[in-house]
Amino acid sequence: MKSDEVLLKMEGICKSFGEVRALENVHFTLSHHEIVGLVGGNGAGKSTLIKILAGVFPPDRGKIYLEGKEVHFKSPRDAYEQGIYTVHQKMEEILAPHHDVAANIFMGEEITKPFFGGLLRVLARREMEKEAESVLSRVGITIDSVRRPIVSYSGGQRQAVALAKALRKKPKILVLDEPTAALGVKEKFQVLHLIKRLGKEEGIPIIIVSHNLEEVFEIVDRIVVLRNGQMVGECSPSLATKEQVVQMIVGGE
Amino acid sequence: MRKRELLKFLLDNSVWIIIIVFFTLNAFLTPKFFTLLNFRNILIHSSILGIVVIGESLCLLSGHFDLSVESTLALSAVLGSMAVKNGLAIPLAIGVMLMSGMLVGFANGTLIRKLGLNAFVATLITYIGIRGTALGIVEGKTIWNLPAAFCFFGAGNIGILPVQIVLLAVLYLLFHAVLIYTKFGRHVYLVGDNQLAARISGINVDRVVIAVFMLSGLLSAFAGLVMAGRLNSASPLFGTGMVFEAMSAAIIGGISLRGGIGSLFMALGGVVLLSSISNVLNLHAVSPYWIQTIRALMILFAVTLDSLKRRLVRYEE
Amino acid sequence: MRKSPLFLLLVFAGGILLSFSAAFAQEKLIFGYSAPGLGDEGQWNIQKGFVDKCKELGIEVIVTDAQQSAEKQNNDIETLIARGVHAICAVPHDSAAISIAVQKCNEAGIPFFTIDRGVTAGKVVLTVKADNVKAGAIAGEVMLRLLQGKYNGIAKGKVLEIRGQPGQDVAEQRAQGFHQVLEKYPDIQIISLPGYWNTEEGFKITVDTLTANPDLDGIYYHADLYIPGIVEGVKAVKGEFAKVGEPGHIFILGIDGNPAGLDQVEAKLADGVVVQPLRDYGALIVPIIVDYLKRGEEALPKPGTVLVEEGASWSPAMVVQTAAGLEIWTNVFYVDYLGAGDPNLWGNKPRE
Repeated sequence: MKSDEVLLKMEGICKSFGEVRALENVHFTLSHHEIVGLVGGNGAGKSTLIKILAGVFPPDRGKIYLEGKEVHFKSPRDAYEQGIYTVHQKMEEILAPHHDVAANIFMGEEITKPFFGGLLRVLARREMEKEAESVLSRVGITIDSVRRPIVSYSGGQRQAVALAKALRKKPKILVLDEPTAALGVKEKFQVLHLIKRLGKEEGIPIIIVSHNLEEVFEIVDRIVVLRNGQMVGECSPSLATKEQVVQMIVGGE
Repeated sequence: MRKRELLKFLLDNSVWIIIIVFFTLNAFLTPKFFTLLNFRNILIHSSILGIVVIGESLCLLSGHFDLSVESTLALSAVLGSMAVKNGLAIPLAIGVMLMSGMLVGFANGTLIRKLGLNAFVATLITYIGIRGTALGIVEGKTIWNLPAAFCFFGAGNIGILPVQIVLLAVLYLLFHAVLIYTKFGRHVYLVGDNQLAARISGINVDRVVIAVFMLSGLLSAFAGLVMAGRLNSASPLFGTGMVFEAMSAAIIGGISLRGGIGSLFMALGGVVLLSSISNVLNLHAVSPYWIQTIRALMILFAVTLDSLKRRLVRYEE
Repeated sequence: MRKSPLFLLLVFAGGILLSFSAAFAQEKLIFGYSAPGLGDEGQWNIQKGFVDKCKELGIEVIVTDAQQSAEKQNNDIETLIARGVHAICAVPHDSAAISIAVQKCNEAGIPFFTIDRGVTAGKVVLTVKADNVKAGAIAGEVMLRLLQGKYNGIAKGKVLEIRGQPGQDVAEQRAQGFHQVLEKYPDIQIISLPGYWNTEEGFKITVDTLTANPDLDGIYYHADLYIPGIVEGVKAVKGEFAKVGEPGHIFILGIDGNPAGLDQVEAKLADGVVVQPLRDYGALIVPIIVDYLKRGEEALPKPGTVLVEEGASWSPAMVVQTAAGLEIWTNVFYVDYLGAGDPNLWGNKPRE
């Protein structure tokens, strides 16, 4: 049984960049155990909304409520600490190419152990490697060694590592911005199902931003459509057709 | 994959392989090269440049570089020498020298992170300004005849080993350990590898970068102490041209210009190689006009190696 | 009643004219002197010599200090032009960069003189410098004597030459003179390496060469700035430093004669230096400038002649026409332990 309790509520969000109105009076909600697809054409405002949620910049107007309480994100770090994990569109942005999987998963939060009777602290490499391996297997990714640099893996594997990084500590909300954009067909398939499994088995609420309606229809529970910075509709993939959604995206009833 | 890994290992450690080849060749080709005394000289010559290269490598690893190292060296040498000649206690003078280096480093780091200047412009400003300050403080004069105790780091001996060689070994081991085993060291590499990712992951990039430049300044200032000790004098023109040698040594040693890649141990190899080349050229009394050309060729060789390596490591694009 | 206003006017005008011409006749000459950097001992002494001579002749001098910046020197010279000096004398920091300022002087009609170094473009009336070739030759002669003394009259031995910046005329000339003297002796071997006017480089060269040639007999250096590197280098390789007269002493001599150099000679660490009479460049050039302003080209000494003045340390000086222009090459002389304490040497005169 799905819990219908609303986890996230974004109300009346407005954001402008100079003359350009990226978002105007957008409302968005997310409940527990939900996977929501955020769709729209180029410039519809999806990326901007996500970035506000990720703490990259604040909205000009509007409020955000997390678990019923009003929140403000001062920085990406702040959003992260409050439980919102965002995997950005270009995964290059969150992975260090010449470091290995373990280093990437623990970036910024490395585990240290005391040395010299507690005077100094050194990196606890083996602990990090073991935990990296366990996160990867929990998430269902096969990587032959956590010690090779990221840059030597395929795009799909890198995306998977990025996901694993976000999942190491269970997030309150997982936001995925175009997760399969850079992947080949087979990899798209794998990542999508990984995401679906995460949402259902781990019970993590997920927001997916995507261009690809096929994928969206494949795995989400609810679709939200943005156009020209405004929310123009939402529907369920089981009740609406792709054509209807396209209509909403493109406009003109 | 195996062949690629082997190739990568060879390229990564290329510096030491080149050194082995170089030393073997010159054992036969250069008279008086393969003697204990000459090797001792090579290490002594490596010491000052070596200390500066540690700092320069830290900056390079974090994705930046420091043009001002030689000026910091000169300022420190001049400040310290003036202080001891005017009666300041030696430990205090050394303290002043090291502080000056850290201040310059702090200025560099702040210019880059708080004012948003890029490393080239910021350290160019300090490179010119600090050199000018050193010249101004002593009005262009050289200070001569320094107290023997002050010269310990440059000219002293611990048992049979010259202090400089011991220093070189100690500092390299220390900073290698910091880079490989500590959280800070990991952060330096991460900031160099992908600054954006590091920031998003919550690493305080400002603090890492400012720390790295302060360390570079500190090490350059320390090198100034060693140089003053070795030459028993302090000139505001000390270290002129050293920044190029330092960058060459680091790059030859495999520290990538892009940041995030490289090991200090290899950079030491670069320093030893450069000093050996200089030594061999001296022993042969090669025509002075060609020394510069040969050095340039070495740098070209090193940079080519660097880009070859990067292309190998990158997966299919 | 015959005193008409016209008469009074004439007297008045005559009086004005008289006082004007009197002022003209006594018009004080103002010279401009542009130093590259007065922090340097040598430069300070050249300037002092120039200023002292001007004072002696009742000429006013404006001195500027470029503090080792070529750009500042050009600004300094422009300031001097604006101040309306009658002539400018400079020691160029950078012979190429200063050409811009020289051209401005040419346009303003102010004659430009240089000391110690020339310029690459622009009209310079005259350059006074030391005879670097002769300096090298004197050093060569002294080294030859020392070697012969060591080897019972035979001219043999191994000598290290630490040069300046390759390609630079001062360095090339100091090498040229030295080699010209010693190449006649096939048993004397010269190892010649560039030091790029860098003390540390000098140290490295000394250490490397001495290690490979423990039987090295002597070291000849192009400028006193190399001294600390040489002394420390010898100490580093030999463990200690044998002074002049002690067994195992390596002959050390060079060119310049700055205070530290003279101290080294007095302390018996170095055998001697070839001194350039820096204080006297001024004494030599100032009268020529004054004469040139009065008489023009005629006043300049002719190439091929030798200027002599009894008792002047710059004398005898050769006048030569080189590709760079008209130059006067002053005398240089060797000073050893006995003469190093001479208070007349520029290196021994206190800085006032």
